[in-house]
Amino acid sequence: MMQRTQALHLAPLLATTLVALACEKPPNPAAPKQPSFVTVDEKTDRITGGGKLDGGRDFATFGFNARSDDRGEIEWVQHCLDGMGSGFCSLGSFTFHGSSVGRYGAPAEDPTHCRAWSGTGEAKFQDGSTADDGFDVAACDFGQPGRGMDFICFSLSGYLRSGNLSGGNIQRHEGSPENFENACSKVFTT
Amino acid sequence: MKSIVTRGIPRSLLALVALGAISGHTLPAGRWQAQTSYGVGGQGYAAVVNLATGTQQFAGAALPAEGGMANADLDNAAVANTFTASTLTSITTGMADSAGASAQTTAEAADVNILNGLITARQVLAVAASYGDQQGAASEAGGSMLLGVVVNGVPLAADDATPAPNTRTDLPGVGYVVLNEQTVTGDGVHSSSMTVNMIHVYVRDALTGVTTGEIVVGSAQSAVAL
Repeated sequence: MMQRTQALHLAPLLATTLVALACEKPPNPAAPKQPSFVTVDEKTDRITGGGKLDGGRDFATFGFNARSDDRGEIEWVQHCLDGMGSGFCSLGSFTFHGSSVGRYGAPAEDPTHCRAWSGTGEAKFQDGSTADDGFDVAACDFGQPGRGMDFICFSLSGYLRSGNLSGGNIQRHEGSPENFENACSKVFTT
Repeated sequence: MKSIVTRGIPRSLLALVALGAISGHTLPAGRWQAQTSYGVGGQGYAAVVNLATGTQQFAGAALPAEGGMANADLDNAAVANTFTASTLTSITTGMADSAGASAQTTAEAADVNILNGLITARQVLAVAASYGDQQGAASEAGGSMLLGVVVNGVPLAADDATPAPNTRTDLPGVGYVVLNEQTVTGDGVHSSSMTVNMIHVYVRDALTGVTTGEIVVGSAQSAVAL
């Protein structure tokens, strides 16, 4: 099992707060009316998203689908083009796939925009080795487009990365889940 | 030549966008909800090689009809004398509900080598995102990147800079390549879709100029219909 050693990164906190404030603008009353459409059971709260975090030679790409009935999955790819050691590359490049959602809920600090969940999955490293591990996620939908606004945190043993998206989008779908906190919840509540 | 990923989104996504755009205007709300149970589409390929000898797709993922997520990973890919790459991944996610719709796709590959070194790249990443709600629909390719791309021995962008969208470079004796190829469709109100092909080689017949094949690395597509 990998050791949890990396400190929490607080830089995204301010940005997330500012983004949240910026999103509190009223809807445009002149916008065209459109027919509503229903494609999901809205008794089930869920959140979907995908994209990119940060840039340059140390960045992450991801996609997820998580729902309050404990179904879903996540794929997280950490890129370390300059090798191991710097930034978030203490573990080097890896791909993690979480195929379970063990717990899911709304962080008490921002139940309107954010969801947090945990689960288990497998990390595959560049040398071909693998490791089973638990993961924590918190994701926030602060509007469209998600780039520069939406927020995600992903944590494994020995790895925690968070920030506002540099590409892609996160979309929260209506529902009323129970409160839930995990390691990532602390990133935007500390 | 039958194109797989070129010139916009696949037929399934085109049908999706068309369905939403047309049905949104013509069907009463009740029928809309009954008949239109799907408003998002997504598809990603880390790479596609489509030549006269056949078509090969690497790390392809398509969003399920009900939304959710799909992904594909591949450690290495190779087509003799044509294409090699490592760490190929595609992820597509999305869903629609009563408030709106969102679909997003990433497709990526590393250590790319096309046509025996004619084009090389350290990292290729395509990002396509489409979203829509009562305010309208839009798409974007923000986050897409192309690191260390070299075409015919010439670096096309300094250091880690990504070439501007739709940068075209001729490939003598082969055809041409479009880097960071971006295509947006939809009316921006009821529908929107985005296709991003980070490296798109068009292989042309030397005599007729007709396109006879294509090689695409990093192809991400997303679509929403309201």
